[in-house]
Amino acid sequence: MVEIKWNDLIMVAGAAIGVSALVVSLFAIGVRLLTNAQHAVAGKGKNKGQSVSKEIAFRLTAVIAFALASSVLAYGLFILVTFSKANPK
Amino acid sequence: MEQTALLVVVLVVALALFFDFTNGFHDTANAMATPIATGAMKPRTAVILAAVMNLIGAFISTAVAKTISVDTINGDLTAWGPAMIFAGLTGAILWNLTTWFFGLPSSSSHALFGGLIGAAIVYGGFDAVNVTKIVEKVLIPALFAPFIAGIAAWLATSLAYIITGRKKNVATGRGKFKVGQIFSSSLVALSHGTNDAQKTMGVITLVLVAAGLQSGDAGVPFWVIVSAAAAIALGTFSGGWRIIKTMGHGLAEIRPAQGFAAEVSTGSTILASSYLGFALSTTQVASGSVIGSGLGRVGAKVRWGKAGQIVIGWFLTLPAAAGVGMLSALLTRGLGTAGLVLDAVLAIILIVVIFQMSRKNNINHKSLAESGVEEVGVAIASPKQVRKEAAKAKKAAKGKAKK
Repeated sequence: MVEIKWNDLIMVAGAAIGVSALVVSLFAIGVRLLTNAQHAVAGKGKNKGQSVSKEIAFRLTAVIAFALASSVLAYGLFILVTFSKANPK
Repeated sequence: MEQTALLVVVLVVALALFFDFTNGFHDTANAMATPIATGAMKPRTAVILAAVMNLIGAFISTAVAKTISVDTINGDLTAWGPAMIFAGLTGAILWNLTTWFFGLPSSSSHALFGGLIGAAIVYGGFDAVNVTKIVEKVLIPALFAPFIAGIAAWLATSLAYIITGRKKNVATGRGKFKVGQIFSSSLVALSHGTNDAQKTMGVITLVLVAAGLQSGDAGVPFWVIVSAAAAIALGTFSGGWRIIKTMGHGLAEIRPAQGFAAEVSTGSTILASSYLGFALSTTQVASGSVIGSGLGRVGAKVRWGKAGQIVIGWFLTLPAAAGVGMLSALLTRGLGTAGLVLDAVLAIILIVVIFQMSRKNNINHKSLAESGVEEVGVAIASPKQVRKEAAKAKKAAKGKAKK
C-alpha cells in the first residue's frame, strides 16, 4: 500500500516557500537600501549634512538586512550539519 | 582472500568512484548553472568553488553512508556479492553519461537506485523490487519536487523584483544580487556534497562488507571517505558544461535576482526536505527553481519544450538505468568473473564512445563565458568606487550645464 506522508510534504513545501521568500526579501531590501545610499552619495551637493546621515542610515539598515538573510542561511547550514549527524537516513 | 575475489572488489570500488565522479560533473549545474548564466562568477571559478564546497560537504558527516540502504530492493545486497553491485553501478554510470550527452539534468541517485534494482531483478527475481517504495521514494517526490521549488522560486523572484522596483532617477541595483549568488550557490554545492558523496561511500562500504573485508557495523573507513570526497570534487571540477548550459540558458532567461532566488529556493527546499524526512532529488529541485524564477520575472521566457524533455528524462531514469543494470547483471551472473571483466570492458567502450561523440559538439567553459561575466566587478563595487563614480557623474553633469 502506497503511503504518502501528506503532512511532511505540506511542511516541506511551507518551509521551503517561507524560508526562500524571507531570505530573498531580506536580501532585496538590503539591495534597495544600498542603492538608495549610493543615490544619496550622488546627490550630496544640495544638502551635504542631510545626505551623509541618510547615506549612513541606508547603509546601516542594508547591512542589518544582509546579516539577517545570511543568518537564516547559516542556520540552515547548522541544521544540515547537526541533523545529518544526529539522524542517519 | 583469493586474488580473483580481490580483483572483483578492486574493480567494483573503482567503478563506484567513477560513478561518484559522474555524479559530481552531472550535478555541478544544480549549484553553478545560474551564477554562470548571470555572470556572477566566471565558469572556471564557479566549478572550482563548487568542487571545494562538495569536498568540504563530503567530510561534514558520514551518517548517511554508515547506514545506506536501498529500500527499493527487497533482499540482502551483501548476500548477492560485489558483482551484483558492479552491475548496478554500470547501469547508473551509463545512464548518467547518456543524459549528460543530451544535456539533460537527471537524478544521479535515481540512476543508482535504477541500476541496482535492475541487477537485483536478475539476482533475486521480480520479488526483489519493492514497487511501493519506488512509488513513495521516486515517483511521488519526482512529481512534487519541481512544483515546491518552482513555487518557492516564483514567489521569491516576484518579491525581489517588487522590492527592488525602479523608482524615479534611482537605479534598481539588481546587479548586486550577483554577490548574493556566490553565497547561495555555495550553500547548494555544500549540501550536494553532504548528501551525494555519502551514497558512494555507502556503496563502497557495502562492497567491503559483501566481500568479507569488513564487518557490517565497523563504519566507513577513512580511505573511503577521502577517495569518495576527492572523486565527487574532481567530477564537479571537470564541470558538466552541457547540463550547465541547459540549466543556465536552456530553460529560462536568468538575471541576477532570479538566479539568487532560484538558488535560495533550491537550498531551502533541500534543507527542509532533509530535515523533515521527505527526500527530494537535488536536480529536480534545482530545475523546478530555475523554471519558477523564469516565471517570476515579468517578460522572462520559459522554454517549455526543453522543460518537457527534462521531465521525460526524469521518468526514464529509473527504468533505463534498471535495463542496463539487468543486462550487465546477466553477464556477471552468467559468466562469473569472466562476465564481470567482459562487462567492464563493454562499459569502458561505451563510455569512450559517448565521450568521443560529445567531442563533435563540444561544450566547455569557454563557450559558456558570456560578455556579462566581465561586468561582475560592477556588482561588487566598494563604497570608494561608488563615490568615485558619483564624482565622475557630477563632473560630467557640470560640464553639460556649462555648455
